[in-house]
Amino acid sequence: MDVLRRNNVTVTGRPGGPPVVFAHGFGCDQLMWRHVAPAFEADHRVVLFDHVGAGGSDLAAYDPVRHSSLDGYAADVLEVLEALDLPPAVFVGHSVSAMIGVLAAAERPERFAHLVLVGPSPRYVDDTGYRGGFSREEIDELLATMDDNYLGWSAHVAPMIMGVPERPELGRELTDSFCRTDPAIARRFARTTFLSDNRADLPRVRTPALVLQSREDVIAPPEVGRYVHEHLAGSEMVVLDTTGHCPNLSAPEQVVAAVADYLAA
Amino acid sequence: MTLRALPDEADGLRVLVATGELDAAVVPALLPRAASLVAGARAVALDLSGATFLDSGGVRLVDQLARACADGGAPFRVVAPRGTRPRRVLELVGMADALAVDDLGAAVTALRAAG
Amino acid sequence: MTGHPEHPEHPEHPEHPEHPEHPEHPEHPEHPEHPEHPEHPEHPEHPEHPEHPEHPEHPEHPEHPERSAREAWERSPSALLTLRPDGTVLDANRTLLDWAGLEREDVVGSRTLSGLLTVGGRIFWETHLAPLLLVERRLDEVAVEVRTPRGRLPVLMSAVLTTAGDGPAEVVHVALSSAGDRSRYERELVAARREAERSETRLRALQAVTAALSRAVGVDGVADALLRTAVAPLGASAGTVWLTGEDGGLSPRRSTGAVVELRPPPFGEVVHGEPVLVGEDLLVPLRGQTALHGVLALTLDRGAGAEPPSVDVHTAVGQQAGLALDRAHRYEERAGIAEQLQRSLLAGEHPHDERFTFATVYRPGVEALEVGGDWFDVFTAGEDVVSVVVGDVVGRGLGAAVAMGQLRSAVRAVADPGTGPAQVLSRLDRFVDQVEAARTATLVHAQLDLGDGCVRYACAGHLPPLLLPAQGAPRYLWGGRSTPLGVVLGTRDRGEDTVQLGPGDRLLLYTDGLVERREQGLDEGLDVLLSTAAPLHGLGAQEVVESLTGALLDDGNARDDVCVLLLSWSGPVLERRVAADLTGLSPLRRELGAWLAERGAEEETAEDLVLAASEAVANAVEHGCGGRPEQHVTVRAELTRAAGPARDPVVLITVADPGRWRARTASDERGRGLGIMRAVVDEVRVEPSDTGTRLVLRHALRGGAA
Repeated sequence: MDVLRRNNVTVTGRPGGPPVVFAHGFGCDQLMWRHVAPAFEADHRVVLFDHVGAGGSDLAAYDPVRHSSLDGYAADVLEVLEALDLPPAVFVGHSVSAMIGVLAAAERPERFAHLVLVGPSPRYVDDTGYRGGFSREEIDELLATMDDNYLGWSAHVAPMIMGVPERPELGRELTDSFCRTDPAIARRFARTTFLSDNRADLPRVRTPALVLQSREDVIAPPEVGRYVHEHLAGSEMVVLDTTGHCPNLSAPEQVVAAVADYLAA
Repeated sequence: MTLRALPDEADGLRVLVATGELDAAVVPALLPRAASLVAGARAVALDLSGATFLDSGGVRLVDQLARACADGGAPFRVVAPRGTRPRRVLELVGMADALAVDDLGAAVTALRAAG
Repeated sequence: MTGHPEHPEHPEHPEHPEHPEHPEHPEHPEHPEHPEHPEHPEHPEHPEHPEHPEHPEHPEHPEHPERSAREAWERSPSALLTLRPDGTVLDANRTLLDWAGLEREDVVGSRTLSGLLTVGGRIFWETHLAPLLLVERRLDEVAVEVRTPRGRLPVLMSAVLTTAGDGPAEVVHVALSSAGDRSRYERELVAARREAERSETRLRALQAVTAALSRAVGVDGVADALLRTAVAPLGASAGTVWLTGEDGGLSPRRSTGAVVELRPPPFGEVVHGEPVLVGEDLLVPLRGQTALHGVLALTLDRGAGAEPPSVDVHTAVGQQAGLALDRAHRYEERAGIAEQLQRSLLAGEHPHDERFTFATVYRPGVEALEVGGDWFDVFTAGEDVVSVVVGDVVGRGLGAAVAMGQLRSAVRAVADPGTGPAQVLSRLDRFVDQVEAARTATLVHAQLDLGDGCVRYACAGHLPPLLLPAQGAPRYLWGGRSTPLGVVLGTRDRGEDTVQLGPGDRLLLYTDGLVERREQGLDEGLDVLLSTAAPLHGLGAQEVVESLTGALLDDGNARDDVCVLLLSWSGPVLERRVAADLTGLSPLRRELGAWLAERGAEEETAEDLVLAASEAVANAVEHGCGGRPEQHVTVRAELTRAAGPARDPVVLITVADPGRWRARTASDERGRGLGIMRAVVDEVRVEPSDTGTRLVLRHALRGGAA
């Protein structure tokens, strides 16, 4: 199997530069990084990819068993790194990809130079002595909402917004699939994402890490970011002056600056 | 293994008695019943003094009962005498300090104090 | 952005007063005129926000000529909002505030849109909709739900991201229209789709039951097949097969999960009827052609999203299982006879047992047609003893070969369990009295106790066995020596000796062809063997015998035939292959506990190890076998020695499954299980490979670190 095609891998930037790998989170695809990744192209080899089931990935490669846990996605990442034969990389993971990066770095530390975790959460569901921000009932409600949107999502996939008037910067073909996961896969990915518990994996990581946290984030609240920071030995944390779960879109210049500062230090 | 609820005490204290081996083989069937097992109780003691084995599956059941109790606002203790296997396992997973007591009497005292 | 006065893409909402593509006001730079929307609300430049950061100048506030537009905006049947790109609410109309049951000051400037939605909608917004909006600059009719004091209100959300005023700042215009009808319609479609998926799932599940039952062998095979295919796949969390005994009563035969009790009063109903629901349990009768063979008792999964039981499917399962049990009963009557026949056919095979390994080499003499009289044999005598023999019948040719065959059979015949090597030799003395060609044969016979590694051996005129310890120098065993068979000097009592093996120690038996050369004496040959064997202890058994024969015989001077046997004791080992079924955990724990006690483990150490092993097996069953119960997990416990001068005894427990390791650290209970293992034993090692995963637990037998 062609791993690079499977994950719709694109490599840009300076050939031979130190590699930076950007991994998108639950919901969207590599376009999430469109305001962040270009800033690194001058000095770095920039690797972008889509998780299987998202964006331009090969949907046929989706394996309900392998991808029923984040380890399956981590294994995909390691296979991509292996296929590219990169020196130890900076891995920038957003949302659930933060934990996918944690799992991959715990498994194969030699492949990673730094981790940058944007809006990470090791467990979304509250637990005894731990506040993840959601109750199990709330997550069940999410999964029900996704069911309700089954038709709406299908419609999203179909070309229903032909008459879109303006798309500054982007041709329509580029954004066609953005945030439009196959609904069945999206539902499973939601289950995998929001029911996983990777707290025990944090202490396994030896790779230096930077935690990037929005000031307000209902998906991964600041206290969860702090939890990750405190349980990752030798990590640093930067709180971004923005709200929402996607600072890479809402405050890309802050994300770029924080990552660049961290890598320069 | 068996898990049964004794009739509630006059003050709403409910004692659940588990005997035998609480392991990954038997616990999954019990998990969905956790909420109903503690429903309506003002305080709950899970008596593991007759349990001969507890594994992470069994810990899951204890955890589930603890959560169900927390949801219902009922204090919860586990009777797991020092030196027994269940106590050792609860200590290993870090739940003993908060939950474990040595005998039912201690559980009743702790629960009435908490209630 | 172009105007869409006719809303061509939304013909079903002609009344939509505030379509997000039309938040504009007449002086909006991109929309110089909208004469067809004179009432168009003055948004977002409404009077409440004269300081609105995105709108630095609006000198005409609040005397804006279109105050009525503001009114229309407020009273629109759709809820209308403006947001910062990060989701913070800048303004909201009355409709929205009424829906949410909030005042303007509760919302504006502090809340985000996602904060007004239900949890599912909130996550959907943060992970899909907000990024989509920021990249594509619009959203069309996405179904979400607004939290209201009266419960959830299904709405369709449309939004556009646009430049506000002529400044660089951007705002989001959002319209939410009540979507009760469409939501109901979608729910119905989703329900219909679900129902279709359900019946397909059920049909497939029933086919799986049929297939499994048709392959099942014996009554227990049928019970296992039922538990595998008709419990979890049909929506039950636990199942028990109750079978009718000889007395006509029902007793539990096999379970998966907790035993599901047969609570009264099911019997009468079950015997005559369809599956019957008793509380949370579903009782499925297993009827054959003439009798009720038993009952499948299921605990239904009543968790969120659980499927309701299907009487049709369970009725069919019961009927098929009843017929399968008819067949199974007939089969078991015949099986007893078949098994005996099979054993007798396999009697000539060499034994396979994890507790020892052996390797052999036979080289014929230079004249290939001259059949030699060398032989080896390996057989078990009783449960825990393996016997090895290497012998040499004097002479060559057919007579010697026939005598060898007779003698080989004779050794097996006289070496009953409990008969030591000396006594075996004595009985062979009587045998060779009758078989002239076998007289003066030499042989070495050793019996290894697989439980403790003790070897009893005796040599009838044969060369001494060579002991190859796992650590240390090899040495010959010169005990237990006596004359060749049938050559009796004085007494008829044969001698024997013992030697203690440790785990990995080996014993080499051989015929004289390995060490005898024309040009060198026997002592010299034995020295050469000793020095050749010494460096080989790191090799596998077969490599050792191949290397030895190669080194000693490939000089062209060997003429006689040669037979070499290397016996290696693995140490005390417990090996079990268990079906991927958690019900096997409990008996396995008992066996392992007993094994550890026999090895001298202290109670606490033994119980910790049993706990860790149980966790490892549960993990392997649940996650290494991919939920496929036809897979197996192998558990192996062995005692070995730690490195270092003390060579303290160390327990190694290996749990192997066919799954991949990386697929299993995700959930809390798995992490907890692994945590427990790491807490109680000295070392937990995961060895993933292409063919599966091995989890190795290593712990000192006495005084472990934990």
